[in-house]
Amino acid sequence: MSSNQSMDRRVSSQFAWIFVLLAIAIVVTGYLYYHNYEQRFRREIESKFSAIVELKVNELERWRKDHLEHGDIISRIETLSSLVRRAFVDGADPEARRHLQGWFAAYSNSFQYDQIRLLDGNGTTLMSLPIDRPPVSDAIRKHIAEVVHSKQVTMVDFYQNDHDKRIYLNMLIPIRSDQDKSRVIGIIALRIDPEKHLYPLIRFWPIPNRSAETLLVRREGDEALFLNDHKFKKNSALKMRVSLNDVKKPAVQAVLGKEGFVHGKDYRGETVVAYLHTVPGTPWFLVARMDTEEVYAPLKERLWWMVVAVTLLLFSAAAGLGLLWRQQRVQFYRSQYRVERERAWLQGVIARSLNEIYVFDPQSLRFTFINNGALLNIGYSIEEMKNLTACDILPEYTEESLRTSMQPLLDGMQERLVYETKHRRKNGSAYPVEIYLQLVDTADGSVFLAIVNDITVRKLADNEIRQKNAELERFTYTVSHDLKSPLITIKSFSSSIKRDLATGRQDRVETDLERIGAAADKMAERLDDLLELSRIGRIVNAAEPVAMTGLVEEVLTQLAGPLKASRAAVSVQPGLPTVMCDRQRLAEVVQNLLENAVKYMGDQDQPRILFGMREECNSKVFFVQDNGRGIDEKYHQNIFGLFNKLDSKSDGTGIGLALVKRIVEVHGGEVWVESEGCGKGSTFCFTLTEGKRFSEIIHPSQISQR
Amino acid sequence: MTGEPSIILLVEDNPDHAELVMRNMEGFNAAIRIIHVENGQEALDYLYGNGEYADRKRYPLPHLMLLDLRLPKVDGLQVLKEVKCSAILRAILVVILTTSDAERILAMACEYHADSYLTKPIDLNDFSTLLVCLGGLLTGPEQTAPLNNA
Repeated sequence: MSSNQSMDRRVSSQFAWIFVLLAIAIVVTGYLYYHNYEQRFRREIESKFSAIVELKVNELERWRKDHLEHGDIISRIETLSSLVRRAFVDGADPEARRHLQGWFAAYSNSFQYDQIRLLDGNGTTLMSLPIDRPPVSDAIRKHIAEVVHSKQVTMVDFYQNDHDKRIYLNMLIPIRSDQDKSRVIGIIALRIDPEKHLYPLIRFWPIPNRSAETLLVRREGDEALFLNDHKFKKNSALKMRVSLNDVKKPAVQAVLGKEGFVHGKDYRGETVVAYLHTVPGTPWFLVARMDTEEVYAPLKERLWWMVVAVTLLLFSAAAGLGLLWRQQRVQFYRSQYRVERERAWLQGVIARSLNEIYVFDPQSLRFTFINNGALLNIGYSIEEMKNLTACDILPEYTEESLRTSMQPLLDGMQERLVYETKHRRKNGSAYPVEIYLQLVDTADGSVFLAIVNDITVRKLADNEIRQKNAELERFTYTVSHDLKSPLITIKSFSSSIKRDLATGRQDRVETDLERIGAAADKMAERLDDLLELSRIGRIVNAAEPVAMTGLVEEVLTQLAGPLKASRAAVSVQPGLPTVMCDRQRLAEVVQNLLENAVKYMGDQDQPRILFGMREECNSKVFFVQDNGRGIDEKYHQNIFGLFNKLDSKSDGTGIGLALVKRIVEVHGGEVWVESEGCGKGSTFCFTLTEGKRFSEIIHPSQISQR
Repeated sequence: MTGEPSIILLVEDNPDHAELVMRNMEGFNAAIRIIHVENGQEALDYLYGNGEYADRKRYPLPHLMLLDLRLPKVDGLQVLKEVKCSAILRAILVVILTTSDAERILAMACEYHADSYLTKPIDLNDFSTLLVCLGGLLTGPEQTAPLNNA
């Protein structure tokens, strides 16, 4: 039992371990997959960002380069410098002015400059398109001297116009005199509205998004200045600055020269992912950024799905294992139940066996198992038995003799021993037993197994057989003696006659011959009697209901002659019952008893015979009572013997009572005589077993017919 | 042997067999007196001197008893047993007469200390041989005389 439980626990813990391993495998796989995915995703994001940024940087670079080259071309147009000289330096040629205006108009139409001015070396506007001309902004004025000096096309970076407060870029193109190239006679300022082209270029993001933006930054002193409007903060261009100490900001990092993928916090305080790049040949730095949350949203979603998937897998693994475990347990309990049932069945069978089964220890001889059959017979309780040894119930053995007798089993010389001995019950009585003893090897060592039969019934039967055999022997002896007896007479007297004849003595020959004849007759008579006796029980008539009164009357009629001669008064008790019996045989019984009564009446003056019945111990006892000679008690037994006669001179062979006894016994009854002694009369009694035994012996078919 | 005849008690229910024994004795010895009783009860009555046998002068104790085993009333073996268990009667020689020398019966007779046996029909030679053999054992009535007085 306990080993089964521990096995059950072991199996359960095995299942737990399998689950743990499976869970670890699932989680690790999930993690690796996610990690791999995250790496790929980051690389993808990075490459996407870098692609966008590099594209923009290239465009910005080209845009600027294009403008500068364009400015350079303008600065080299001889016609233009000639027109400027003629219109504003060498006098005021209206023709030249008109030409210039025409050129301005055409230029502003065909190129996207929203304002064209012609400035002198001090920054004063000489001519402009459109025509209203407020003074140039300070931001431009600052650069004029430089341009005059360097004679180079200069791009004025993002600045705020003093007049309309809007943001522009401006390209200052030095116009050198066509006559003296070293002299700058004017400056053409082409104003660029970034809203028209630059800002859209910067703002453009190829993928729809929520938080992505590109910012252009330049360094101003210890600060980074944003050049375009923020997506989430209008009118921030050129207004918003960040200290370079604030290194967490991607803009600051960009300005400090960092390139590539960075993480940081933006102006809103949001965590962002940014890609930084310098725009070559410009003071600009491009910052492409997006909220971390948005960038990693798919990653987060994937993570979420992974968690769900892993959880589902864990659950299904648990469920699957649980199912298997449960199935295993069901199987386990089922098999255990089966084993248990078989055990109980076997135990029940053994316990209910009426064979007595004892198991005892070979060393201590103490009982370890006793079945119910044994307990019932031996009378001890199981607890009491467990304190006893085999010697305690075997009165015919001492411990030493018992051990000696069992030694052949222990030595392996014999497989089984059979004892015929006695068992002593708790109440001290003993009963004969036959013991089959074996040494049985079990898992817990060897034990003695004794299967015991109570042979009381067999012993009784044996005794009965022995008695019958003795009876038969006596009978045979009697018969042989009694048959031999007349033969001896015949043989002896015939030799006597022979001798007498030889000696001439004739006086006793005749009587001797008579003796021989009488002996031969006796012999014949006895043989007839024997035949008659053997016929009883061998030849049977069917049992039938016989009215006793009628039967007795019938017999009396047959015996009318002898009865009359004896002068006996015969009376029959009224109301005799009807019995099941062999009618003819019972008539013989009655006849013999009545004849006997008449024969041994003696010298009684008033002979009386009564046939009657009395109830005794629930059985009907029929009797023939007379007031004749009576029989001494010591002869009560042997008068029923074959050819036994109390008076050897009386008639008859001595078969009568032997016949009566035989018939009554065949009917399962008993016969006996009651007499107080000589001269006191005698009563011959007999019983009949009407039930089973008679039917069995006489005619089994009668049972079903009844 | 003294001048007194030896007394033989014949216990035999069959008158023919008794007659045969008598005839055997006839030409044998005048000093033998045979007393015949017909059944075991009568034999015991004789031996114990009961009833009509009380007169020991007429019915002296026998020296030898020829005992048939199959007897009415009291069986021969029973008689043998009583004789050999009695201190007074033990001295009487008992010869069993039997129709067969069936071992069991003889074994029983030996158990009760019968002195010898004869199988019927009794052969004259056997009988005389037996008597000669037993002759030394046959004692005069003087031994039993004090008992008579008791």
